[in-house]
Amino acid sequence: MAQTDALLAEDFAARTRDGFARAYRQYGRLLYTVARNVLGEGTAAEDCVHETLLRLWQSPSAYRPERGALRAFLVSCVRNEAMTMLRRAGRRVAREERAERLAPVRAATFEVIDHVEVERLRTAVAGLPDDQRVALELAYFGNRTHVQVASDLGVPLGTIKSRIAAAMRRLATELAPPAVRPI
Amino acid sequence: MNDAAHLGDEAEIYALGALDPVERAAVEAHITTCSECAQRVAAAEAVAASLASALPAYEPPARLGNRIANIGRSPWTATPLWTRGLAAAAVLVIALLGWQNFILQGERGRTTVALATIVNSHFLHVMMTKGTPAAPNAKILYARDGAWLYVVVDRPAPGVHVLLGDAPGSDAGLLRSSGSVSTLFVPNAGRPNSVTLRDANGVVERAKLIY
Repeated sequence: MAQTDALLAEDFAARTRDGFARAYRQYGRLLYTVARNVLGEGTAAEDCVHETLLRLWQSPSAYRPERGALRAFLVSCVRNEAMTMLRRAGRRVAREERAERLAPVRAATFEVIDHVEVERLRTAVAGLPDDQRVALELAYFGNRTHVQVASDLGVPLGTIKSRIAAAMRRLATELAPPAVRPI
Repeated sequence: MNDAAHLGDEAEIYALGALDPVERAAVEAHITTCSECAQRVAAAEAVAASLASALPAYEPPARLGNRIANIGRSPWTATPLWTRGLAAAAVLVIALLGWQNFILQGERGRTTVALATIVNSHFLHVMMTKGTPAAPNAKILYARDGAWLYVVVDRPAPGVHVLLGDAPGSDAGLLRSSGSVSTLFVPNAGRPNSVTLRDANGVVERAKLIY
């Protein structure tokens, strides 16, 4: 599987049409899910995923395998494009709808893409200090910029940046695959 | 960024998509030359991808797969749905500005690049402010992200330079006259805040670009 992912990343970086098609087959559902959750409706999410991949096709040096995993890179690109579209269009989900989406890690009653990964994530997020967890959830699941999170919580911007970054670093440690011990 | 050498907390916030566009562009520029920060961003992106797995899942429509499959095949079939109207408008603009003249005078390759770029972009436009009443009408089409711009003048304009940014500005080149119009496509415009047309006598006209 790891070799398959590495080969796919190589083909994607080389910008072969087959590489793009296979990347979409493997990650398309996740990418569409990311865009749909930010933008709230299907057509915009569809355009978001398409425009992101089109832009990557037109940018020969956008992705290099040594930069990191293709899956994470694509999710980041789609997420950033969706957030840009959200701000540009001034779309805002209703406050009550957003509130329902704020803590899906803690109470997932809907279909998710990877139940195993969600379970690990739930445990890791639950272990965060409350101030870090709230800032992270607002930023990610509330689709708020760090400036908006600071305003929402009435906390200085620098503090919010530190809390979000600390939460991300702690999750990176918690979610990292266990090191293989020599026998 | 906390200093000129490396990213600060922006690395993690970038991965969440929570930076504003200017900060985001700064991070993207930085990680193209700093492998240490690129790795830090990649680690944060892996966390963001895990967070994405907790989102309510949606099945993409089949037509999205068809659109992705068309990437690299044809600009028309690969164009986002909502930009097709813009694409049609862009083609019309090019046609009105003397498409046939471009071809006849050997500009096909350059114009094809410009056209393909415009068709695949979100773009804005602005009329230039004339320095004198006798100056020609001129318009700039420019990418919303500032990646490219296209200067179009409604008459031949020999010896007129296109300058990007505030005075004195960087020289993007001479306008190319073809038939009854002059144009210059600048593919790597670098998001200038203004464009000036200047000939040997001074400023011909100028425009502020707002993104």
